[in-house]
Amino acid sequence: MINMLSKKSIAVLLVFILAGLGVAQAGEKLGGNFLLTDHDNRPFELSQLKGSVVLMFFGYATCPDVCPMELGKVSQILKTFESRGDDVKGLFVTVDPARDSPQILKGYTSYFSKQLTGLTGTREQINKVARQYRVKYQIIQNETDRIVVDHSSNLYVIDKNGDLETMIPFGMSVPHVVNVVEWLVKK
Amino acid sequence: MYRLKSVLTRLFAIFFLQAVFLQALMPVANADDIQLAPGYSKLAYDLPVVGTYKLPPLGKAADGLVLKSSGEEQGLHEIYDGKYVLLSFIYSRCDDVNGCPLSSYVFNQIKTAMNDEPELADNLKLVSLSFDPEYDTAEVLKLYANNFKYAGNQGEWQFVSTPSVEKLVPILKSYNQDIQREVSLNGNTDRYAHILRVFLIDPELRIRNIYSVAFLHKDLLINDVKTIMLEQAAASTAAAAKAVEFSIIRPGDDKTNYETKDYVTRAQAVELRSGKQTDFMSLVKKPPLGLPSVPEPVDNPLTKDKIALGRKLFFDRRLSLNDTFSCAMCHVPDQGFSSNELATAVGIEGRSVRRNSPTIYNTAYADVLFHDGREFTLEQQIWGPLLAKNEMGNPSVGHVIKRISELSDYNGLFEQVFDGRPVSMDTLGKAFASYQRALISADSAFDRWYYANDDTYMSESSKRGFKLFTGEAACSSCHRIEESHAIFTDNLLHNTGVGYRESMGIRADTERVQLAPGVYVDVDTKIIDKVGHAPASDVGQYEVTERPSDRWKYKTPSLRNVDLTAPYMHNGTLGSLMDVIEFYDRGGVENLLLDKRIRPLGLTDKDKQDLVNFLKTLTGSNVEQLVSDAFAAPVGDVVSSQQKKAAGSPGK
Repeated sequence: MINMLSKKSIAVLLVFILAGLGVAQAGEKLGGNFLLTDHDNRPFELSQLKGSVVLMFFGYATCPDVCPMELGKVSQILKTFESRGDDVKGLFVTVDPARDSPQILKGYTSYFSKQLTGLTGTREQINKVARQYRVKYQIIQNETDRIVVDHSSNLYVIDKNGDLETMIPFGMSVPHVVNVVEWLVKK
Repeated sequence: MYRLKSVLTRLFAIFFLQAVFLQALMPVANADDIQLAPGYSKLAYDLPVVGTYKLPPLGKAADGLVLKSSGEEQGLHEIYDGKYVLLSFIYSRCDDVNGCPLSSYVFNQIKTAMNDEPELADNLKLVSLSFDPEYDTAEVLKLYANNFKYAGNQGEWQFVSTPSVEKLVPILKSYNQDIQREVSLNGNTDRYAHILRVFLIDPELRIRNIYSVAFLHKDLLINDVKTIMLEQAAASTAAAAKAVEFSIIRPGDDKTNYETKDYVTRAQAVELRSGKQTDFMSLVKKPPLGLPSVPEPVDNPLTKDKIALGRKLFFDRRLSLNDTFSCAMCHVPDQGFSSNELATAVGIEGRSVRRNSPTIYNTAYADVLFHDGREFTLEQQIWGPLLAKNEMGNPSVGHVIKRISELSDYNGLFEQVFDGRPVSMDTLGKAFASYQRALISADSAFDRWYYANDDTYMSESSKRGFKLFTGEAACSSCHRIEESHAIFTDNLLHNTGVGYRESMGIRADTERVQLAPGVYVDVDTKIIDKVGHAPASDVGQYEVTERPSDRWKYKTPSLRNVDLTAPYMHNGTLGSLMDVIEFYDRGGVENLLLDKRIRPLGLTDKDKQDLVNFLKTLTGSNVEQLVSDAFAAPVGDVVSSQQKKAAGSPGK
């Protein structure tokens, strides 16, 4: 089976690269705290969630495929743990801050889970977080003027101390993610 | 316009979410609604029974330099670690559900299965090799590996990358992995196109199967692994059986595998076991690789005739009180010059001896003799067994000397060898000592590897065993290995707890008694005690020094030819090398005088097997020659001398 270069047929796209980040300098630690704005338009720092296991995902509200799929999984997982009273939170960081205002993010994330917070910020702030987490993305405009953002689709799992524990590739099953989170909740 | 799109997307999202919820226990399909690979569900067909099919080798699994998640670089073959290996090429960012995530999903299931299947945990290793060195740094790999921590602690799944694209390319080429990088306009690599392949590799580094997406399923992979493991086991048993069958260095009635039901006798007719005399002087003047020069006492230099005289004495049954028992009957040449069949020796008239008969091989290098270290030279040692009531049973030194001086076939022999001096306490000891001193044996697989850089006969497992022997397990702190030679003993005595255990009567409630090949009964120890007599007390070196701290200390034996000298320990209570390794792994037997070096080792089953395999590499290359020489030796016997007389009489 061939993993096609891209399911979005990049060949026909006119590509405007607004950002193509993610290759961090050697020695830069992966993960860590950051400052952004949450979907209620309040400043948000990752360190606020110390004591919770955090599932973090990068995407954008108009994302047609990967984001809703991944967020669907995330919300399922959040529900699983919420019903058990375990402290697991979700973060959705937009890589398209130009379009994704706090309001849009709030509407978007509320479809999935109330444990899920949408985060946005200035282009610089987003780029900084993307670099910290080695997230690659590029904003592409095609011939039909439809804008898509091509981005990394790992799910980032952060432990109770705010340290990045693991990256779960898109495509891993829900039970797998539940097992990973469960392991961290108990730890 | 964006607004409208956003709404559409939401509807789109909700539609898909429902699909996701419906398959809550399944991996999520991509938006393109890709059909999931069979690896994600129950196998749709029955697998053939393990071992009923063949997986012919498909070529050699190449080596290469990889980067471990610790940041260190290592050869891929070293990573394989002599195990069965499942190798998968992946990259951590891969988002094709039927690509890398599938191989990780299947590996994770196998890793989980290892919790219940120690056979897999011990022998199989999972390796995921990233072909994205640019992104998959050591740190990223570690994070990726963290995904699977919950699968449990059994077995090993290692994630490796490569130090650079240059190092990666030859690996991909040798495994025929065609991977295309998609490079974006700013020069970064974004995605890879690759064909999913997982490789099954055996410990001989041969590729045994290659799985594509349609065949990558936990059950099939485990079935295949077990099948080639079985084949390997069968091959090694067959090889061992073959080696045993044609080997002069094994007992004439070799009982190897007697404990199994499929044992078939291999007894050989005595007349088939003829031998050829060896040139001992060349041997002792130029000791085999791995041994230092032979220490010769100033007053007893080795000569050809002296060795020959000692050899004649060694096989002479007339040296015992009732003319039945020679030295060679406890130090049996084809049983490693020891006695494989008996835990403790049996002397004339079936009298029990307290201890296990030690090997004569390489006693030239021993500074202390007997298990309790009561003698110091081979010249003096000989009187121990000659005079012990339960060994050769002679009443006195004078009795032995008188007996030899009366035997016509010794007429003039001592005089000839010792410048006119007849048989005496001195000359008899010197002659005996010379033969024993000449029985040196080395140039083993280990020696050729360690002292001559030739690893032809040294398996990876035995090399690992050596590492443990000299490292973690610290065997070599007593069984010494020097820079230019090794005699595998410190010539000292230690308390390992074996003696303590026997003295204190520490035993299991039942003892396994074998009635026939593969047929056992577990007999209550009390019943055994009723029908036998209690073992004689034995407190080791204390009997020699009377120092309380020397209780239960026994001599460190050399380990050369140890594979041939079972059973083990001074009382022969351990039947196999594995038993010995397990004894030391447990930390011996706890007692107040236990040697400080002995402590629980926490060895894995694989470690233990590696150590056993190492010990098996210590069999000298000249063993066959020395055993053959023994078969060529004359056996002094009243019967044969009477026959000789009878045969000679008609002519007179």
